Amino acid sequence: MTTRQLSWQLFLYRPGLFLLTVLLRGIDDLVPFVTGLLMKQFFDALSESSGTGLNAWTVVVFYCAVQLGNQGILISSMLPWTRWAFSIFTLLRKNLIQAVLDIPNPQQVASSSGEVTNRIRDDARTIVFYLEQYIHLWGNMIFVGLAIYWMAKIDLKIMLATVLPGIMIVTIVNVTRRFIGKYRRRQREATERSTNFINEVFQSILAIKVNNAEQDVIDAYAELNEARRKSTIIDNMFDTLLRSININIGQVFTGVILVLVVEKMRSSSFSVGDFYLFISYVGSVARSGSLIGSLIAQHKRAEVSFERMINTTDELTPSKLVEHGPIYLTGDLPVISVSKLKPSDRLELLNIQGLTYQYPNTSNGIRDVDLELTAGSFTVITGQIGSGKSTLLKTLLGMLPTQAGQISWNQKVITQPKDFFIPPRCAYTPQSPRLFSESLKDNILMGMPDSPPDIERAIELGVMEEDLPTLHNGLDTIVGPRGVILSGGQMQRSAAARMFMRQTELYIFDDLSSALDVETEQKLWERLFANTKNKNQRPATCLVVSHRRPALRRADQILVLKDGKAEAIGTLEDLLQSSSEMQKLWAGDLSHKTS
Amino acid sequence: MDLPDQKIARVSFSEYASLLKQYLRPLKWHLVGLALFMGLSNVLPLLSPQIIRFFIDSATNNLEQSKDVLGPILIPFSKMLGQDPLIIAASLFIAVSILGQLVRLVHNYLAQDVAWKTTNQMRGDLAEHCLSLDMSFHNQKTPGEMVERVDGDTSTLASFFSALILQVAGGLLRLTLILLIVLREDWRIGVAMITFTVVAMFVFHLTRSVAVPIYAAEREGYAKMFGFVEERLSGIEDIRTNGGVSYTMNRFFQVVQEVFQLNVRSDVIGECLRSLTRGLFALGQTLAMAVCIWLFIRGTFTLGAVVLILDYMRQLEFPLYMISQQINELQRATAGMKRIEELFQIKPSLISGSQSLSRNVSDNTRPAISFEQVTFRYVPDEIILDNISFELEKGKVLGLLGRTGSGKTTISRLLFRLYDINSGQIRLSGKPIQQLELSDLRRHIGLVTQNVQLFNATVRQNLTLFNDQIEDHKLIAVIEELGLTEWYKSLPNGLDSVLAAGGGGLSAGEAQLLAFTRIFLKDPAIVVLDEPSSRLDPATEARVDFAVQRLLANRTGIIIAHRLGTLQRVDDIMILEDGRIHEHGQRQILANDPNSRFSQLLATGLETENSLLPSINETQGEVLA
Repeated sequence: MTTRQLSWQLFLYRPGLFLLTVLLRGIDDLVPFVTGLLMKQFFDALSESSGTGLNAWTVVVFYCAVQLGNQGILISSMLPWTRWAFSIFTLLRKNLIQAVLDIPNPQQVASSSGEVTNRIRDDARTIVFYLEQYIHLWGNMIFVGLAIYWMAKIDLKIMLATVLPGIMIVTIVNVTRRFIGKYRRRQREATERSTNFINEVFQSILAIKVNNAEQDVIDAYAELNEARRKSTIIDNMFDTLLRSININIGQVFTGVILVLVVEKMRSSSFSVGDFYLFISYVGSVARSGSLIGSLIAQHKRAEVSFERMINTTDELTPSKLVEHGPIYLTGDLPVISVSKLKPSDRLELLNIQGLTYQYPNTSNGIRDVDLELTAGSFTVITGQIGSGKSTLLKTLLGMLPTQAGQISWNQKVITQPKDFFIPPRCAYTPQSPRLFSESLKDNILMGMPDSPPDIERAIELGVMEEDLPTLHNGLDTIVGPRGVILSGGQMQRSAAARMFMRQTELYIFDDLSSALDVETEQKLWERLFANTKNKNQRPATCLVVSHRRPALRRADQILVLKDGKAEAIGTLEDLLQSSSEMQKLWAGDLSHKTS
Repeated sequence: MDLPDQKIARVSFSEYASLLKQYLRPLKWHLVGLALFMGLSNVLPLLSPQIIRFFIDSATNNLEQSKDVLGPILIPFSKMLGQDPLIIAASLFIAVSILGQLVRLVHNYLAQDVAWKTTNQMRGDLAEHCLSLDMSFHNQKTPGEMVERVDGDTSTLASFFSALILQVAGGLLRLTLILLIVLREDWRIGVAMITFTVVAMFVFHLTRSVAVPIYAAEREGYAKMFGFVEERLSGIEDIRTNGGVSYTMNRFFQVVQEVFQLNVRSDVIGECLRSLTRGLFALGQTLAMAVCIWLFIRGTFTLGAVVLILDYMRQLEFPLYMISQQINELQRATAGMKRIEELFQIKPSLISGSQSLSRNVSDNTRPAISFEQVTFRYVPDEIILDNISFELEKGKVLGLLGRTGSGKTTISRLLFRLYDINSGQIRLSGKPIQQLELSDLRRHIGLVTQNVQLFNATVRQNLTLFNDQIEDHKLIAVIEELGLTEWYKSLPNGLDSVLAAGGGGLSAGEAQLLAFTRIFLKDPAIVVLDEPSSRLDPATEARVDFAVQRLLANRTGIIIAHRLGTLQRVDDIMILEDGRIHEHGQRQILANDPNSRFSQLLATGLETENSLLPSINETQGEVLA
């Protein structure tokens, strides 16, 4: 889809609001025309050179009425305008966020969430800003037409000598503004470098102090700030220059008009009213005429923004970005859906065959991995860093694309793992889980119905119960951005509780114990194990990545990965006899903390 | 002029003055230029209406009745040139317009330059000051908060330094001149315009106090919305795999609704306020037109005078807007200035000593490190270290054990004198550390923490911590010594390669090894090592182990240990519990004493639940050897 088609789709989203805004704002764009005519009348009435008969007092009353009436129209135009613009913003943002939440490889976005947020913020704004140009376009074009007609009627030659070069110069200037982008970008980069640096400095106070690096760091900061000063001034001067030409073009052309009318004014064939009409039109006609030029520049910018938004994910098609849909600006919010488990989805056997994912341009990844999980079993994946443990989980979960092999659930082949391995079938806790800045309870619930016994159970399984009294508001404690107020271990256990809250058939977690002390870790495995092996209830199935002995010892089966391949599979006892890699890992893991 | 404002009253005039003096003194000539161009840019536009009036009145043959001032200059001048005076006037008009534009540009450049030079200086001063503050200060502040105070607050002062005072003065000058000129034309129109000016100032003041909080609320709403989005996008994995997508969208729309309300409110009220000021100027123009009609009919005014008055009336807008806006800026700057002032008021409580350790380090007769009855608390009620006494001989390595909160990390921080102890004495080679110059003390100790702090800067800068005195060949030698050669060769631009933010592209093990290079470059006599995190896999751990061995060779060391495996190479063991020494002695002796806590830890830590497999026995033997 071209930028034009994309824009058209957006115009079609709330056409009524848009047309109403165009109408109301169009009146405002015509006010300078009326004002010019009234001022001409005013001076003509004063010098009595006009035969139309309106006296100066009447003109003043008209003038005042037009101006004040216009203010009323401007205020009333704000309601449809704001709503229209905000609707388009929200539609674009919603469509992009939805696409990103559905992205096949979330890791890409996680590492650049700031960048994607910028697109959601700035590119959506650029696009709406471009569309807003059309609000002004119609009124301004009519104004230019009327003003040119009127000036030509008074004096064609003077009109041609001033208005046309005026429009040309302002158009050139507006097209030149496009180059601002380059300076603006440099300025932004320099600013970012400086603020990121000082942010890192304050993150590294300890390292700086113990290494006596204070002065060196300050010098480096000064250097970055000097670069920032230069780039900002260049950007700002360029912008100021172009803008002041735009604003002051009328002033210079007033001078040109003065030169041209000397004789005519002497001979009274050009009245003071005519003169005033010309000087009040020439600047705004030039600026309005240049709107088309700036529209071209804006169009280009919007094209880039559309592209950036669409390229955020490979799956987002242009038509999806501008797809119409509800945006809930007022009224009820969309319902939170919680799906129920279908009996046929009860896990009996999960089968992974020949699963392969290679990271592009590296030899990292997993190759040809087979694994079988039976209901109620406890499976541990282990191996050195880089052996593909997390990659295996992510491929299974559909957060990395399957390049070869297949996954089947109760003998049924799963073609879209990312839409299948979700509650109520499966829940997952990543190695570095993310919490969000809402209450601990909302984090654990994350949309699940608020049922106290279920929460209690989830918290117990996550070994969080002893932490709750230490948090100043218990479950209602707001955990801060990304959960900062919690310790690393608390964050992992809260995330585990979030997973257990879902009561799924399969739990998958990646190195859950890496930030836990030995006692807590013991408790966690014990409870989990007790839960999975509980005869009174349906057993849960677990697939975990760990190199910790308590986990390995409890496993029904262990999959040892090495360089992305399944090195061995079996029970701990067997593997310690047969697999040298397992022996190495077991010996290497002296990770029983002393505390 | 009366500009009542309580917020401004909070910072006294002398505070403004001293701040201005401190930062503007080095830029004296900039300021002289700025004042000059500021004056010019305010006076030049006053000429244009005069030129037009001369033009109209002489074109309509009314120059005799006119109060024109330019005629006496322009007419003889044009006679001299043999030109039509009207053409000369028109040319002058064009020249004044272009000149005005240039003056404004120069003025803008000077103002920007002053603003950036002063605020950059201030950013540097503030950052330096903050770095000198105690760790206890930094522990309470998030880095984001500090950036806001060093960069954000300073930025609000930019307009203040870009001669805000000068701009207000310039605006007032222009306003006064316009009103005086108009008074000279006729006192009645003068009085009308002065009345208008006073009313306009009052209305501007009113609208400002309404508008500012509304805009602030809207900005906050947007910040919240994009904060929400950014946070969720960084956790897509967590959301999707736990079925939280529809919940997340629900919450998104909830935030959107909030922002929408704020947005409508600020847009509509903003438009109302703008309309109010526009309407006010329309009324002013109407008033001026009415008075002009009356004065014209009475024969007091020529047509040229009417054009002139209407033009000056329009010109009033700019200084009025500007003064109002600058007062706004001044409020923001005042708030920023207050916070900056507060920050400067915070003084480090650690007073550096004056002595140097250099001669003492080689002294073998005294213990390299000694703690004598050291008691320390971060906050009054909570004792962290309670009467700790121990000594560590030169060249020996001490293993520190204890659960989280037992005080082991604190001991390492005290050694660097990041905090002052409450009682007791810490000595390095016999010297009490508070007698030493802080930088000298820290030069002799190296610290590797669990989390290595890396900068989004070049590898060189990361290794040297921005010290550009260290030569490349030294760096490369250390890199080779630590077995990082392979990694170094994989860098696209060698030492100039830029590390991604947050240490991206480096594994945890590599980051640890980078931290070791910093220590090697520093070559301290004492090394404190907070044990590498449990995230390392066994193979990477071997590389780190190798580096630790090199690091501890011929140095006195303290290792804060989390695993028993690390303890193979320490000479002494100290187990802390609740801020006290639970056990302290030679590792060999403690390990062989079945009653010692250490030997119990060794036993339980190595598990006995299942039958002991051969590999376990090996490991155990190794540790106990």
